[in-house]
Amino acid sequence: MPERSDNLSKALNVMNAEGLDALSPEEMARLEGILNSEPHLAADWADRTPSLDDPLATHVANLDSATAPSRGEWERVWQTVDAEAYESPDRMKLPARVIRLWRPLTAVAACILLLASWQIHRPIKLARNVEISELEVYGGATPFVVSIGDEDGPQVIWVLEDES
Amino acid sequence: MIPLRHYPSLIVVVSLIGASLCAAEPAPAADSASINVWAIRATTKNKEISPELKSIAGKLKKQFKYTGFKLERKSSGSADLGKSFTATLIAGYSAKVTPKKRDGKRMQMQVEVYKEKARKINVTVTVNAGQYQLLGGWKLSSTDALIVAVSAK
Repeated sequence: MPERSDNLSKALNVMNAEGLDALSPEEMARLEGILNSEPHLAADWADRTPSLDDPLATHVANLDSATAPSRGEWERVWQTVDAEAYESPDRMKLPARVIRLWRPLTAVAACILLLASWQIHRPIKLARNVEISELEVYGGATPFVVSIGDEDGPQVIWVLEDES
Repeated sequence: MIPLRHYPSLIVVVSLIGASLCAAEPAPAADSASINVWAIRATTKNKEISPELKSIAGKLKKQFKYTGFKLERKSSGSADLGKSFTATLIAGYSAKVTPKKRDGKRMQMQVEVYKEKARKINVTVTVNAGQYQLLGGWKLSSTDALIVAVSAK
């Protein structure tokens, strides 16, 4: 089939020169079908290597030029890496120590605050067994001694003022 | 997490700090006394209770008509036996406390309450040292009254 051969050759040449992206999806499907059905054609192209049209491949190829770091530059880089490697374990320890301590320190601070607040707001303790040896009020007021709580509980000296 | 070996030292630190906060005041000299005077506003306008008065508020409510008890002022001082310590209260009131005698753990003190220069009460009581005696009833307004709490040790 000469026509098919010509078309096939054209397609393969386009693919070889411009890459698979140059072919339309229909052309690609037809090409694949033909190559699958005629293995001898695929074998003709099997020994060909793909072109380096990939951007990364192009960049890698360009790296082989004289712009690559020199041996001396590499040495300096590795020395810096080694120096940092020795320091970093210590550097890592300090922050980790602080982070591990924050929980017990927070607990200690909470205990201190609790004790301080209890100290500041210490509840009143009223006297029991009160002995009143002298009691005098003025301005026409009347005093009362009132027990609060149980019978032996604290006593409050209450003054009823004269409102007249 | 901190290693277990550090916990004893943390416990010691917390205990020391706690002990310093809770440490008893040094005993006063035999011929003097440290005095505390609190001015409390009893009111029917609200139900707010100061934290220091929470333990006695219920008992006071049962006996008197007031629903709110606010600790408005605290005064502390010291005086030799027979000498006076005067504390300013609220609303023009003041209290003059004279420690009279110390008998073991008991303390005798004279308490006088003044409104401006007018004396309202003169009472001598003997109580356990450091415990508070309440005196009250003086009207601050139609809804509020003054209660004075006094202790000496």
